[in-house]
Amino acid sequence: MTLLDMQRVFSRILTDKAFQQSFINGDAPSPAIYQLTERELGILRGLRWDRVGLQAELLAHRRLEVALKALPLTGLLLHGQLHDQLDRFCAEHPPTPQAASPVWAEATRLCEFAGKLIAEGTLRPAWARDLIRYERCVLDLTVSSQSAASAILVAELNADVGRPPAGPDDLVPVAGPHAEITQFSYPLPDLIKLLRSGGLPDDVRPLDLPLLILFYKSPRGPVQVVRINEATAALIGACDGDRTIAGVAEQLSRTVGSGAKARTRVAATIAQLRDAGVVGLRRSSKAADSRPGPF
Amino acid sequence: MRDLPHLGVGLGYRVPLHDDILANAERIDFLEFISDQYLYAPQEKTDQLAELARLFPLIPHGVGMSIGTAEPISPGYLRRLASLVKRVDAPWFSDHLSFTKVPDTDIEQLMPLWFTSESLATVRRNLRQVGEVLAGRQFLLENITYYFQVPGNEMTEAEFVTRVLHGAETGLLLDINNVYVNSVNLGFDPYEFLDSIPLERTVQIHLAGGRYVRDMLVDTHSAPVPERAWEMLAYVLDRVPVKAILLEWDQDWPEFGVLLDHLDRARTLMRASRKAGERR
Repeated sequence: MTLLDMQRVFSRILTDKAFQQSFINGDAPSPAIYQLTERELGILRGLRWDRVGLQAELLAHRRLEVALKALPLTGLLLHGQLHDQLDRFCAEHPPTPQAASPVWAEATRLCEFAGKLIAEGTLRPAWARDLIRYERCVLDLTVSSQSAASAILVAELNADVGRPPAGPDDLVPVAGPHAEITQFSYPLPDLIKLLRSGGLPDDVRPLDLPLLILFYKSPRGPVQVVRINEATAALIGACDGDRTIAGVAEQLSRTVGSGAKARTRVAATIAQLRDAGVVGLRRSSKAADSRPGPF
Repeated sequence: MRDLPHLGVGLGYRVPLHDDILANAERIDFLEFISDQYLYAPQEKTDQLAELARLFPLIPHGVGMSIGTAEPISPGYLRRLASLVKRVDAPWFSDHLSFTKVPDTDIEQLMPLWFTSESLATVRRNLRQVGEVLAGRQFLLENITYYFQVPGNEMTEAEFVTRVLHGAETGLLLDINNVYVNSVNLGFDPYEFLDSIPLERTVQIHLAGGRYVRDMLVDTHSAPVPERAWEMLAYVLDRVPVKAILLEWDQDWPEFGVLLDHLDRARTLMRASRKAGERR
């Protein structure tokens, strides 16, 4: 039974230009991979190649458009250059089946491909690499079930925790997979603003200090993007679901100080992060009306 | 299939059209959405669908089942689909008489099957699998566009479609534009094709418009429905009562009013054929 092999070869012909060319040239596909009879090979060789070629071209274009739909800023900056690299993209990133959203799968492949080409200097500008990582973060948090569930759980925790009031020793801040902090080398917020307004900045130099951006999914809403400082990043990192607010302050004492003022500042920042939906607050297991945490 | 509800004239749900759809809900009888876009989506996205289902009957329409692949359909895919169909309480769901993937490649597009007895056996086996996992829900298969004849066929497409539907519980989702596009690209009489398939199994009809890419008319779902397709729709409606007609428009959207005008035109044809059917 070789119908499946016929379909496999047909699929390669449509998605792999080098394979298609070698097939047209008369090279038989490797018998170790495909078991086709001479009759079946003859059937495939009888395809109308002008139409097959056109359809293969349309398929390749569609792959790029599907990916860029999920990466609109990358599209604004790199569409023409990526279009020129389409054959290489299809060769290096074949559309292998994935148990995932087809849009996410194509966009992820394109991010990897474009990142590599920027690193080797084939695609410009260099800051596009940061832009791609930025859009990838937004995309991952948008499509991830874990991220959506985490955002909702945090919102539910924060709706519950105020009753009755609790102190810093009773409350445990927890961050989940709906929040992610990423470091960038270029002034991305300014560049994105320019890009959206139709500008294409050139000669952009890397920042002296890396830029930290917090991405977080809001429940049943879009991904929010906020620039943060190192202290806030460290604080979110310390919200591990075990430490209480007091414990987080203790953990950060080396960097933010250990006095009452520093503890108040930590508590205030956690309150801000809670209000934004970045962290959830649950009562510690030691607290009287404790409930199990979701993470 | 006679017991399936009459849905009327609907529109393919696309996120950029969301606000216009809600604002013109009284002129849209039902919505069809691409089920594959929701199979791996977070729950909040399917919650949004469930909200839409309170306003419109929803029909899940797939592109990734690959019923013609010469191996069983992924059980995980079918389980997710079953859950989605149940979630929106769809009276039926549909996919294409095609293959889109093999174990090592997901073409992500609808590819023609070899019209052979081996392919027929494959489709029948896979249909049984669909019926087992989604028991109790009507399934429809849609005819596709393809741009070149596949050599080695043992029968015509019309014979293949007829034999797939014969003896199966599956209904037909007749894409009028696909028949039209194929007739242009492959050079056949579309009415002969329509006369050669079991039209009485048609539950739903698709309408769309395409564009030329070089010498090939491509089913882009991005243009007005061509007059020839409207004529073909009237021809089909004169012969069989259908439960639903759906306009697919996926990109290059005109003013939303143009889409609504398409729906009105289809609705007028549908009503006229129903009245004529009642008189017969």
